[in-house]
Amino acid sequence: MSTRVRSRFWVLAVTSILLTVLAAVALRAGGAASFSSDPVPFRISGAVSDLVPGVPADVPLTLANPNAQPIQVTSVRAEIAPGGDPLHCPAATYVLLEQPVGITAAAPVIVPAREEVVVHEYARAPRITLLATAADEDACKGASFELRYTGSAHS
Amino acid sequence: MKRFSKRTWVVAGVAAIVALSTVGAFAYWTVTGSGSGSASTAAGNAAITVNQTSASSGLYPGGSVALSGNFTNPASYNQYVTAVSASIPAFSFQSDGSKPACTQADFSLSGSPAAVGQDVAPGTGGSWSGITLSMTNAATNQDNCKSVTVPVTYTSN
Repeated sequence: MSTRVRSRFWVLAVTSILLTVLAAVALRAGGAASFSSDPVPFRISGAVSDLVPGVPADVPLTLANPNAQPIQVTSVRAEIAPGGDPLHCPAATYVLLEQPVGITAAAPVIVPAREEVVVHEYARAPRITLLATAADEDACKGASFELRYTGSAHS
Repeated sequence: MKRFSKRTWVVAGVAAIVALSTVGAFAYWTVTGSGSGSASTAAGNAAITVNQTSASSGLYPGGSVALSGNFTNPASYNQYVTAVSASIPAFSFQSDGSKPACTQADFSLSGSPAAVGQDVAPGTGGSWSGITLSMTNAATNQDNCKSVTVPVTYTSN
């Protein structure tokens, strides 16, 4: 093989590899326009009503993904917001709130880009119980507890 | 020391680019989430019915009978009953017009309200007692009170 032929071979080889790499980068960038920008936090919401003493109720969770890429929600935590319980029906005494422990890194909830997913049942949704105590719970009739959610996800 | 040729540097550079690209492909970003919601309790308007299961018959002037019973809880959940109160509504029976009518004034209740303090399950159950129905021994003729069923109404809280 002459020197000129070998030179052309290497130019072609290097050019091919560079084009392949550029194409791959371009495809990745095109598939997710927001990849280079900071992702926007996803939104969590969930409410339940008509709680009665001693009957557990699942709190359907809505996970909304505003990003242009799908996300995998790996954990969600629910809590009664500080000061979010009635004065005469304190959550610490009358409420049992069970965490959505079914959402994990090993079993994430996948939320497509710019869509939302609702998980309905415990243990992927929280569960709340107005405890049936031996005491008069009339103070808890018509009471409302403010729930607060936090969570984490990855692309 | 042996120097690398231009070809070696080119190959190494391309390999490095490919390697970095591969690393990038396996990276991911993380994102947090937050939000709020609410949980509210029912208004609790499923009223409990107080049932009297004891007989209130056999009364006579100066006599009394103990009243007792249970509850019907129409809700799907337990409801707590603190106490039962009883009262005699106004009534008048006068089968014999020549004698005074039998009215609520001929009877009285004691022990009301009666403490209960029970968590009553859905359906019929629980119990209450401690209220006594008495017939007064009036100085007037009370014949019109014979065989009368005395109405008693109950409330609970």
